[in-house]
Amino acid sequence: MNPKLSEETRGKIHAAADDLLQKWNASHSAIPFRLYHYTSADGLIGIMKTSSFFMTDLKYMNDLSELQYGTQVVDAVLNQKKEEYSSSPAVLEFMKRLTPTATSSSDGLSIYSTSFCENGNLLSQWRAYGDRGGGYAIGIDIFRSMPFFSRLCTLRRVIYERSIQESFVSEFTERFCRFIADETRDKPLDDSVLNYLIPNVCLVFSQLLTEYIICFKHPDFAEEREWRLVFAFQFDDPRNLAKREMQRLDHEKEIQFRSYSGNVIPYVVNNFANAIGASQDDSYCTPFPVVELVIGPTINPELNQRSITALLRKLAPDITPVVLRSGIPLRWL
Amino acid sequence: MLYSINHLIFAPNFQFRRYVYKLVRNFLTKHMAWIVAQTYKAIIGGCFFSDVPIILEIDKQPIITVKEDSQNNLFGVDADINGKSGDLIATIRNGVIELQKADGHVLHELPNRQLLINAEDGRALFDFKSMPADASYSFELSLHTYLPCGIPLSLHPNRIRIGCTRILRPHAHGVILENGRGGERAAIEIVLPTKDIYDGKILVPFVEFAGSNRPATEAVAPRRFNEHLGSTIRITADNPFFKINEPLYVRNLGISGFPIGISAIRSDELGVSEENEPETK
Repeated sequence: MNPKLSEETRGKIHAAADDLLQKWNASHSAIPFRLYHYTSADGLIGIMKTSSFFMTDLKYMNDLSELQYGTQVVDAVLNQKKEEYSSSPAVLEFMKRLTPTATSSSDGLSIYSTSFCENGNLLSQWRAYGDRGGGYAIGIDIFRSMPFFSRLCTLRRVIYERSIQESFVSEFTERFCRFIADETRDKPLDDSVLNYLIPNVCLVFSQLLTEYIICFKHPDFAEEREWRLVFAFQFDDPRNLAKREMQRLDHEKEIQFRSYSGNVIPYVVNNFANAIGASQDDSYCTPFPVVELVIGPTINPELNQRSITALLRKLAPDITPVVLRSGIPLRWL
Repeated sequence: MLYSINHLIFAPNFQFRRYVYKLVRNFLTKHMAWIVAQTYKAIIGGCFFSDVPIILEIDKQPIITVKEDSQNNLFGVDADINGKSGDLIATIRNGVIELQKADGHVLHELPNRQLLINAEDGRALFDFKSMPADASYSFELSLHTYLPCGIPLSLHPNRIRIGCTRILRPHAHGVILENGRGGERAAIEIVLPTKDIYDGKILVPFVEFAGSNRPATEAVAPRRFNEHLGSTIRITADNPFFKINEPLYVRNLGISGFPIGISAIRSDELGVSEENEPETK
């Protein structure tokens, strides 16, 4: 926050952001007891062998239109607000500077994510991960395991209802537009407004906007009931450009690459070995992270059940793995 | 730090949750009729409990009791969460948690879950999950506490542990363990001390399994649940006290009707050093 802004103004911006964030967080608080990560046989073996997940750069997720959809929702609301506040030149200037893509993700900072579903037996997911059989859903107690992940992540519920999406963005935009309009009423658009107030509001606005965009998905995908484990590299002091650049270079060293359908996909590794370690210590009362594993439709479910039980027992010899079979017949794939 | 608590990130709307929690707690206390639950199904410490009103008792004194609000079909427990030095961290009555020692502890009140965590190392001291109405059991409970005599008790999500390494602790007796009919748990496995020597005699509880009495050391735990539906394991106490070097583990069992009972404890046998038991603050 810029020191030339008064304490009172700074406080108001923070209060507005905190208030909105509180409501936003409340919509993600009902975390299911287990969430399922769908993967192929190779993916499953890789996850178990390395005790880690890949967190893919959100821009490279399977469906690129996901982020575009979120941007469209925000665009529509912003256009509406432009008309409502056409009498306030400061708000119009604020709108002009705002572009939905001016989020952290376009600022050289990528956001990485792993997807989970509430349902561990979804035909659409089996089709995606096992067109000839061989899909797996790894059920994880995320809420208890997350504190032990190697990366500081947040868990976000994907919102599919268009009306709820618009309502979040609308309330959020309205709050900041009104704030700027009130702060600049009967004042000229001078240096303090153009170079301090608006840029600072834009900074807070874009940070919150990123949260929304990554959580909005088209209503047609509603059956997935998806949650996203999200990770973004943090900068100690975003305004210290030299330090920020050095940190960015450090972050880049952690990025790895894999191929998918002929594309090169950036990802980072999120290790859960500490969660396994905690589960083996009785006093932690933390369950083995994989609380259930569902085998998708396949020709040999019995054989797979045996091999997967052995695979899980290798990680935790003293547990009895819960390995279930999908009841969906293979012919539907 | 291996288990860094810095990754705990669920606190932004803590004040709001706390406010709602107090409102709900007041409502529960005033308007609901809680009784000891006689009929229920639950996963407690990774074991399947069916109709066990008192989970654990010492000298017939209940330590963990399952409670039920019969009007609203809600379940909760009565229990105390103690630290290693015997200090009271939290009391749970009728499913409502009252923090006695707020410093260093975080209480998460989610719509379907209560979770009390040691903020320094991420240890869960109490985790109660209410299952949806269509689930085959009503709730899951795990907790870590110290019994009034100083013995650690872990109702871990995957197992129950009573005692710990190198502690002189009493013999657990009067335990009636039964795999629940129709339960989902896959195996029966009981791990009992195998090298309990006291006064030159091997003292192990006897296990009556499927109608035959055999020492626990010889008890072979069947792996497949379906082969032994409804069979009963009884641990009887020939010797009320004995010295052991390993804790008692109970895994993947169905426990029906009767509590896990521990007989009287001689105080002069306690207070011996423990391994791998960091101070719970």
